Amino acid sequence: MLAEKLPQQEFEFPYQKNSQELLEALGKKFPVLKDMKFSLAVDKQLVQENIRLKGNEEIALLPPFSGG
Amino acid sequence: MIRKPKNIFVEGPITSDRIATAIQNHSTKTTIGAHSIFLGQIRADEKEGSVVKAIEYTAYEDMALEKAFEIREAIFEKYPLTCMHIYHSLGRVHVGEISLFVFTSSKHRKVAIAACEELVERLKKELPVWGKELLGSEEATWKENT
Repeated sequence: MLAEKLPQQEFEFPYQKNSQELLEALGKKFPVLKDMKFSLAVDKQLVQENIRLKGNEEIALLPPFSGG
Repeated sequence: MIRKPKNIFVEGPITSDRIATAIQNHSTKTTIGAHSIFLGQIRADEKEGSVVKAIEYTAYEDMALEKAFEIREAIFEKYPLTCMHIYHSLGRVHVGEISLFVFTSSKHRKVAIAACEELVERLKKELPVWGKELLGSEEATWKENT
């Protein structure tokens, strides 16, 4: 659902120093994200608070889960 | 010993054969007095004037396996279980077929049942897995757990 709205499934994104700035930068680059519900995972861990980034993390935008 | 995440994913539906074999495999574990089994089946929901024919599952597999492992360890910590097994489908599963199989075994029924229920709830809430509902009209809609 998210992947369907973005030009690529996987891509490199310019360095942002924390997760809040990353979300803002992603929102600027892909305005479609503003209307979508998703959570952020950094290196396969869900991120709730603002965390510092090093620049080589694996970032994932996860829509609401619907397994089972 | 460092325990590594076990694969929980199965391509396509979970067959009754797989379920029967899982039960059979426990007949030698004679401290077990109770199994609790949860089976999730694909329901023919009505959506947007059409009917669900199948669900196509995808996952963020690496994260899902790490998460399943973490949940598994927490449930083992909390309940005196003998065994715990989790199977989740990926790819297409049709209406009436099984997409989730959770299996807990213990000495006594109350523990097995409580652990099974908690495990299912946590898996549905915490695993990065997505089901796309495929409708009769060739259209599709993304489902969301409540």
